[in-house]
Amino acid sequence: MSDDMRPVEDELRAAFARYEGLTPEVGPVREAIAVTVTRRRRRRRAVRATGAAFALVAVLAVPFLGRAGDLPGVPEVAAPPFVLAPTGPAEPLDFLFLGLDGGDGRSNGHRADTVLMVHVPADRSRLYLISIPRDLGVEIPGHGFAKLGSAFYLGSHRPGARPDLAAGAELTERTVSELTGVRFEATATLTYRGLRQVTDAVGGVRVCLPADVASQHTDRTFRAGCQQLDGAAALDLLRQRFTMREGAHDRDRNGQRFAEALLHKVTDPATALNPVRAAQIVDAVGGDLVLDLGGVTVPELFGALRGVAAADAVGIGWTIRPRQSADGLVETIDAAESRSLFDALRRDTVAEWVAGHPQRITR
Amino acid sequence: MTYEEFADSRLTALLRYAVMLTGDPHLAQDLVQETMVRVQLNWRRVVRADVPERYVRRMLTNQYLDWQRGSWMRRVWLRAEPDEGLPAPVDHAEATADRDQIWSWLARLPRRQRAALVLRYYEDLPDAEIAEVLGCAVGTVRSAISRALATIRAEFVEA
Repeated sequence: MSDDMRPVEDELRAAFARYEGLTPEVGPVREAIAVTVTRRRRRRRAVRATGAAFALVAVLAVPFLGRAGDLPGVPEVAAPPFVLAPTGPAEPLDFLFLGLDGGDGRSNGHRADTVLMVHVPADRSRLYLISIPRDLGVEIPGHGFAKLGSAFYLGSHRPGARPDLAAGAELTERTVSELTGVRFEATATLTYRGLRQVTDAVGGVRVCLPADVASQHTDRTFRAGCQQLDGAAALDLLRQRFTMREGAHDRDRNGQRFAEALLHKVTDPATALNPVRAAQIVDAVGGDLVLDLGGVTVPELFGALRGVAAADAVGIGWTIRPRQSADGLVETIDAAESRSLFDALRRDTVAEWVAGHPQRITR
Repeated sequence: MTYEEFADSRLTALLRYAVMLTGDPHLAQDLVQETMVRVQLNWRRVVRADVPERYVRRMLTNQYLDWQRGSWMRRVWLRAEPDEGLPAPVDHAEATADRDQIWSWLARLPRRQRAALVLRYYEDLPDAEIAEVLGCAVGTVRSAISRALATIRAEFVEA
């Protein structure tokens, strides 16, 4: 026992104060930080294409997460032909993916049709895909209560100029972060045109339909059965809503069919994890794919990529209720249930949450 | 605020905090370096946080708590005992031996408990803010601290 019988708390304070003398000099630390940052930035550019391939896969997985019941089977995904040793501390990763609508001519702005959170747990055992309804009523920082999808418009709109997609993505990201408490390591945003270009870049996709679909926009009729679609045709198909019996729900299902076909293409080991091929795709898409890879490091990205290729994707959906508000009809999700999911995301305990909420699994 | 301004004003405090967490100047430097690299690469995101300073402290703390799982572990292993080779802090000679036992007891605590102690008794944060840094409930912070204090008190009695 120490002589002076001071309480343990005081002993602690005193011990900490004594050890302040061990604090390293700032100068060399600062220099080391600068050197490492430069090196990582260089590597980050090199890996961008690979990251984009991951982003594309996840963006394209979106329509699988619809609320409709008849989800297609999980496409076969081959494990990559290489195994990397684990590098760096394993941390859960959160990504945000936004699929934009076509934009409307009058307002020169896009809304986010699709808002998807991708959670890769620290153990990399699964890939959790949480879609947030675009019509969900939320607080948008600086803009008040509105539909989630409009955050993109509010952030990106530039009167008389082209919309600033990066700014739209940023405001949407901030909105989702405030809603969920989750911070994102990276965001990826894809426009309709980007979707078309990706389809063309992978050489088209083979989509199978259960019934004929007539286009309202062109003179195309998509026949029941399987067919090869190029980018323009795929986009045309995905825009059809009113000519089908169940409207938006049928469109969601076509989106699932398309996404399944595209997933087959981009998760093919011959394309997805091949940086050259991915770079070609990214080149083709250009400004219609906006990536903010933030500080995601190379090992993390590879870790996540391995996860994507090898893990089962688990889609999580919501019970959605319409509610009348000043902003028109908005959708709401169950507050207690969503809060528990958001907590699980932050604490990286989604597996437990999923086990307790099997009815929320959409695939 | 630019990254440079942030580093100018906060780097020393972060290094001190890291020393208290790790008990070792080299590990503290590694920890701060790794965190600040991420801070700089993520600057846009960091500066968007309500209080960037707190956000960074949280990043650093998470990095520290995650050490066991990744490459940090190897570095910790490659080094000898973390306390070895520390210059003896200047103090009255007799009391020093006794008091610096505290330091080795701290080193044996679970990281989360140690971090909670540092945040309360070195950084002087209120429990609510400690909970935010550690990403847990206030009750969890309090029980972690009381368990840690109990452990140290028990060591005192034995010593």
